[in-house]
Amino acid sequence: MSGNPVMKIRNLEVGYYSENGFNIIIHDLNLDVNEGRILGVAGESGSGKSTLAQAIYRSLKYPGEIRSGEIIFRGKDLLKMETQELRKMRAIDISFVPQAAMNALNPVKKILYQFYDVLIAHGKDPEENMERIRESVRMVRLDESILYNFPHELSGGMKQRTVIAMSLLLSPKLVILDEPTTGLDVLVEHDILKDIREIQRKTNITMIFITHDLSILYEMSDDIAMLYAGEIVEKGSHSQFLKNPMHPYTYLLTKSIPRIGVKRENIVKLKGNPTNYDPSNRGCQFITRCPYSESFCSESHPDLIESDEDDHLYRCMNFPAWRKKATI
Amino acid sequence: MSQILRTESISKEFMVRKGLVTGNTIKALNDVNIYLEEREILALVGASGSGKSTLARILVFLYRPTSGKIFFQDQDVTKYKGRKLKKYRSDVQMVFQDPYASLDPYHTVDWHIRRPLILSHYKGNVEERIDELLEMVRLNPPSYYREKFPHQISGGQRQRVYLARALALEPKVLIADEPVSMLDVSLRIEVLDLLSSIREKLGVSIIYITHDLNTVSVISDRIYVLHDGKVVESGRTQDVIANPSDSYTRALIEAAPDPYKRL
Amino acid sequence: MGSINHVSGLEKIVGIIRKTKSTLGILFQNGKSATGFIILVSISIFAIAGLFFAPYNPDAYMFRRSLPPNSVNILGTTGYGQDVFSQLFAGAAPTLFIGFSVGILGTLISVFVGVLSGFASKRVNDLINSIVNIFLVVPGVLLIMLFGTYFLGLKENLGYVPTILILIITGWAFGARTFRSVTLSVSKRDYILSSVLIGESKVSIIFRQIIKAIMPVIVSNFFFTAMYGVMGLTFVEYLGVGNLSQVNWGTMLYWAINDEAYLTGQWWWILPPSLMISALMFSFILLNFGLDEIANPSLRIYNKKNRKAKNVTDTQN
Ligand SMILES: Nc1ncnc2c1ncn2[C@@H]1O[C@H](COP(=O)(O)OP(=O)(O)OP(=O)(O)O)[C@@H](O)[C@H]1O
Ligand SMILES: Nc1ncnc2c1ncn2[C@@H]1O[C@H](COP(=O)(O)OP(=O)(O)OP(=O)(O)O)[C@@H](O)[C@H]1O
Ligand code: SF4
Ligand SMILES: [Mg+2]
Ligand SMILES: [Mg+2]
Repeated sequence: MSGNPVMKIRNLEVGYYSENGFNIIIHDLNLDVNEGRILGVAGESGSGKSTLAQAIYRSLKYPGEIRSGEIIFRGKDLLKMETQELRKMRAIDISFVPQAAMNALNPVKKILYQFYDVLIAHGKDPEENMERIRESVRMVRLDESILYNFPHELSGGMKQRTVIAMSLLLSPKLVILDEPTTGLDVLVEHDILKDIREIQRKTNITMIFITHDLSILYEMSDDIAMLYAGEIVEKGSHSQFLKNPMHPYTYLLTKSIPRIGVKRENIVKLKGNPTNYDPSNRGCQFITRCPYSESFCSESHPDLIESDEDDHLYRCMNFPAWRKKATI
Repeated sequence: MSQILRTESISKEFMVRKGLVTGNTIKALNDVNIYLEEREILALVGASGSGKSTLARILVFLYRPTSGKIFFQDQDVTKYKGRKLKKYRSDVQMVFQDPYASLDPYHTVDWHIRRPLILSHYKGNVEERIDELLEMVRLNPPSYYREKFPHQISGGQRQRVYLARALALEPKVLIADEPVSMLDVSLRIEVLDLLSSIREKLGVSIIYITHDLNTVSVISDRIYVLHDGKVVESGRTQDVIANPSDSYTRALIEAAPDPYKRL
Repeated sequence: MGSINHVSGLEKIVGIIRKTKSTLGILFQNGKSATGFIILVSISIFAIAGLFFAPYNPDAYMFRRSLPPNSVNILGTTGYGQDVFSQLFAGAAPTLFIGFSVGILGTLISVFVGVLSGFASKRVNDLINSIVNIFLVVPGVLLIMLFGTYFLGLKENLGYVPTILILIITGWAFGARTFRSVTLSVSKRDYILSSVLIGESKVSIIFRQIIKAIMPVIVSNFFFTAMYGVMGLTFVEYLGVGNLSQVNWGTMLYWAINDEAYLTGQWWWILPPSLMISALMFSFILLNFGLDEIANPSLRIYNKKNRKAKNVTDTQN
């Protein structure tokens, strides 16, 4: 079941400059994005999801900086690309729908011309590509008439569909969606998610789907990467995560989801607050919140290791022992 | 059990100006009858625009209803003003959706909890009471949190500070308008848990407003489903979720994200 | 816990000093506002010294006319035979005084009117709004002429009072409108609604919350109005409704322009007051940048981060 990776991220280090120097937000991150699948990236607020997405798309701005690493996409290192080459690659090969993108639509421009802008930015003639625009709009199940509207004349859901359509316009190989439905109504959210999944199945596009909402993560993802304090703590397939979680964080977070039919007493309460990556901590980054920690957890930093399951990686020194203490 | 809060055919219309002369009225609420029993957690569920916040705001008199009546402890409070309204408001408090917007960025946690105590002429020791309230919402140690500004604490902590502020007035009813929808999953259950323990320990009745049926099933006893300003379904939470009679309720249940379901 | 109740007077004073120190600290962390602050302090020292140490009577026609700078008159003399440096020196204090008076009083009025109308009932709001609009629509020149002639007709020596009044009358309305709209938007915030719900009075909400929230706007409005005061001073003098026998940078410029100093090449007469006014304006603008952060705790931390961070990259390059 291991796929064929379109993107390989190696030893990626990203952070922000601040008053006390450089704060590492993404630490030594290694990740393969398998072709034709949805990779869900999850983590609590502040875990670095958006930072990672911006780093991959090379749209991270000062005070953010990519310190080191490689992002190999179809044989080329994105981090070594010059601006010219990057511009070509963006939207054609990789496209990105940033967090809250729908609010970034130009309020004084009709939607159609905003599609034109995307085409022009990539040296394509808008008039000739009219059919493309129409097709991408239809793909997200919007009426073509919205092309002649201003953004404020559309509902939140329609705006979000519009930015997704824009990201699909040039048939990219990889689409990065950062919290594409956060802030939308449940019913609208559900519809959009269903449509994204359907488009993905039809076109076989690879997607990186970022969310803080674990229920949605599980509904959408084929593969999952769980971020904690700037590190991947577990990576595996959807069913591996649900059936055989190997990192306590994944397990606890999954158990903390309120769900129809589950009693409140049975919902796990994860204590403490999420933290940033702490370079002064020699041990496990999760130790402050981990109920299963042992003395050795503070002595060395756990590596992301391969399990005996196919493509299932985890970063815990106390596995499988912790599972005995957990009631699954 | 007795009913503590009750509405009778509440309707609310908003005038929305379109052009210079043309206007539209939006019927945000249409003949809504609900009641809240003592020591109950009642859920008000509906999609965006169904009128949930409008109803909440009417119940705390941030809006006046276009027509209909509100009864609190069998008193008709609909026309309350001035001193009576102030008393009513200290009995019925509201918690806002966005904990990043409901605390004043220029004041400390201490101030936020001190003000309602001062305004209600708290008889005992104010300092002790502030600590007590912070401990009640599980912000320990209180002295650590008192001097913090809102931007120095997390979203979940802010929402708990807000709860402490509302509880300082010793309300009998708490109306929580989507109190957890802006919070991380790991923090949600914490706040929900707190709401439920507030009901148990202090006997406060709670109206929990949300569009998320997952959390509703976890904490509420009874439920009203609102659609386009009308109550389309009501009953015990378990019953409604197990046997929804309205198609809209079914759609909401269907849309509630479920980790064990694939899209 | 009781200790919080019994903060001694001394502790309070120490607290205030500490706060002032940290406020100044923030001022100096931001390069722009630090520069502005230094310029303003320098001009103020210059102005205070000028009250006592002007080399000659600034008003006396005691020299040859239109002398370029020389050892006796370091900035030369005016076309009427006065010492330019003495005028510049002695005229600094009145100029600053007018600028600050107009800035402070004008802003107070704008805040009062603006916040009141933003928080008042609809009827009061509409009334105030139309008054503000009248002041905005009627051209300032007209108002200056109207009130100026009235004050000139009084034949009493009111010093700078008429000038300041005229400048406030023509300068408050713009700020009032700004404050009205920011108050309207702030008063819709959840945290203000929350205060309504817990039973805070309107007065308390205004003084404890709204004023703090709009502080950055107040500060910037103060500098804006003070700038208007200094520039307007020149204009008032130019329109001939000020008291031209007074010495300040406005009258200096007026006489220099009146005497066509720019055509006759007397740069030493026109340049010093122009440069000083520009420096003053410049310091106001620079200070305006930095003071936002002092008024806003969350902004403060964020910007501090940015600034320090910039230094890091600078050293890297
Ligand atoms: N421009 C910035 N300057 C400094 N620090 C930043 C900046 N942007 C983000 N950070 C920090 O980086 C960390 C990760 O932020 P990021 O936005 O990537 O989180 P996220 O996982 O996307 O969270 P969310 O779920 O809230 O969107 C946070 O601790 C944040 O404070
Ligand atoms: N102040 C107002 N002026 C005009 N229309 C309003 C106002 N407040 C609410 N409405 C309208 O009333 C209807 C109900 O809005 P309300 O905010 O109560 O919905 P809601 O159920 O709380 O939705 P959400 O889940 O998005 O918070 C909407 O159509 C809204 O546009
Ligand atoms: S290494 Fe130790 S502290 Fe870290 S997750 Fe595993 S058990 Fe917990
Ligand atoms: Mg993000
Ligand atoms: Mg609402």
